[in-house]
Amino acid sequence: MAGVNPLGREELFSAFLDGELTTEEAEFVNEILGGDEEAMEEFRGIQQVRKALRMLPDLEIPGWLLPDGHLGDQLSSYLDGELSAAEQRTVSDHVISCADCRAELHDLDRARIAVRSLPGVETGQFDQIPVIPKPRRRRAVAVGSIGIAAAVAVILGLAFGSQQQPTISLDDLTTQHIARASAEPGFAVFPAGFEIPAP
Amino acid sequence: MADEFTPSWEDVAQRYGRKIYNFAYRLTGNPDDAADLVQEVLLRVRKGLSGYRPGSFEGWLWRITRNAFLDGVRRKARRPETTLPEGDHHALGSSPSPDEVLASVRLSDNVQAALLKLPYAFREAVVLCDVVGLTYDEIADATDIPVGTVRSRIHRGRKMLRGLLTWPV
Amino acid sequence: MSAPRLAILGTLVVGAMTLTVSPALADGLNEYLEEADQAVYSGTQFVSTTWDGVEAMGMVDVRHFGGMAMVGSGPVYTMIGQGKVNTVGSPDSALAYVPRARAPVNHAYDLAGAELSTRFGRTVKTIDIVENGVLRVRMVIDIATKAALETEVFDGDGNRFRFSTMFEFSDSVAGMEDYEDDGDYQMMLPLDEAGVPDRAGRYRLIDAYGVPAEAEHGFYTDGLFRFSLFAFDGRHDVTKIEDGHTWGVDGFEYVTVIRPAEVRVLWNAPDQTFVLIGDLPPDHLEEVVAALPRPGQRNWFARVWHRLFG
Repeated sequence: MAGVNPLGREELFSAFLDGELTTEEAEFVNEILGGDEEAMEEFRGIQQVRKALRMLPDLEIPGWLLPDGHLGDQLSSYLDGELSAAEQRTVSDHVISCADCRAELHDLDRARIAVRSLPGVETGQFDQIPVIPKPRRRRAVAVGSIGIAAAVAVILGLAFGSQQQPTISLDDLTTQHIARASAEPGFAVFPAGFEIPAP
Repeated sequence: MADEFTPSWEDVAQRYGRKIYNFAYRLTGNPDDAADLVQEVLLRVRKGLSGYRPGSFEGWLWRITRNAFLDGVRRKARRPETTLPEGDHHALGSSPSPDEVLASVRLSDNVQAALLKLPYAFREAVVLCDVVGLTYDEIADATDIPVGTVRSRIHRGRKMLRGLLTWPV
Repeated sequence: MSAPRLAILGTLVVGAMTLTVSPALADGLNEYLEEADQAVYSGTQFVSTTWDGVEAMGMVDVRHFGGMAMVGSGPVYTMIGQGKVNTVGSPDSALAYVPRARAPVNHAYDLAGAELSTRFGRTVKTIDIVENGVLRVRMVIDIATKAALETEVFDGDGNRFRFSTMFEFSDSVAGMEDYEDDGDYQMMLPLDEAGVPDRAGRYRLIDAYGVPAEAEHGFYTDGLFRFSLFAFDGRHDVTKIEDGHTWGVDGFEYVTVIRPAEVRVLWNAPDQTFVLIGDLPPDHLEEVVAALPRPGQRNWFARVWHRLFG
């Protein structure tokens, strides 16, 4: 057969067994095997090895590696907020029904809290809402240009106030809500800082 | 070969986790390394899925698997262990007789031990073909080598195994 | 608490007046809620809220005893109950609200279903709270302790938006019996005249309090869900809040922060900043914000006029 290196013709045996030959190549292999006892022996040997390889047992993957097993590293990603919303839901659903993962999540969460409580670690002020700065100067010029600047100086003081407004802390407000809500029977209320961070 | 679909990470784990595990086990002969590799591959798949564009999904997956495996080998800076594995004691199957089990374990132990003696390129080609069940084109895609080279590696790999195995088993 | 204290009292006696509006059906619900309030148990609770595509979740150790809940563990924990919050181990954090009124349960709620089953090897009862015939809350109650082991809350479309469950549960409590309430409380007394609306949709203003920082705190409930409305003078930059999401209702934009057990909604109305914090479902919340001052920017002239002439 044209184009087939005689030294590499045995390579065709494996490909023949794997069904990877063209019709032309397959016919060529047939031809070789038909008249060459040595080639036939070689072919049988390859066939035997191939069979042994393919008979290797299909090993079962350890269950914990699969999503319906335990969650492993995904729990940390979950706590670190690195999962998509859909993945988060999968994790939540699993954690609810799996005591092992729940315990692990619990431990991881404790570890995070412990690390955050270390001295010198900034936890950040996530819930401080700043006051919007007041554009006094710009307003004064704009209004002054229409010729009532003298009156405006008085009005501005009243309109925009001079006292410094404090920032709002959402966690403090939540604590206030919870304190009042706990005076009523009803659903459980939780402290403001109660959260596993989400993305 | 499933083109034109982008599965979820969970789908990949369910559909291919076992194949990846078997691939890794046959390459390393070590269940711990195999488990590590599955985890690493699934992690890479999860990170990479958003960037995956419909096309040859299996080619993409096996490239990831192969790269993860090679990275693992480089990290450990050692060759996969060539000691005899303890046997495929966690292999699945319908309840064969004790003799059959013993024979099967011996055979697979022999084949596994022989596999581990092959140079990596040949071991990889043979495992992807005979254990994972990829076509030559898919193996070429995954390993980034020409199909002709795949064909050659598979054959030479099998030929080397033939020399390493004692027949009849 | 960073706010200055209004008054400091060593102990607090709450004398709550009760508005008795409860019809028979609501009585049953009240009964459950009150029994749950008095339950004695400990456990680990998981709470998650999925709201407008955002999910938040949390997990806490809870010990419940004598109407008080001890949440958290270790040197810093929070005692919650009977109008008080005291974060032990954190300075300046004890706060007590004196309630004037108790909330009636809205007539729209009804009890349905009471199936018996077992959980944690204990006999439990699943009760449904329906609102105008539609499932709103499903609770799994431990018969012996009356504790709610699981709570699911559904939005108006029947989708579950909040879920809480006990991972571990025990009918005994260790450590809380010895708790001595020696908190140095900042007392919050009800205002005689409220500056916040006395209704917001189906929710009624139960009490209003003046809180520091020129805010007023209105507490609203329909007897089941609850929210607080804080009204601040002036405009705060609510867009600067971390984890804030934009939420559009009727063409108006609000900023929401989703937490495991509550939602926080922020917006600027002319000359005021509102913060709403509560556990109400999304459809209720839409109704509530529609009944409150809408987001908007009062024009300059109106603002001057308002300042000068009220």
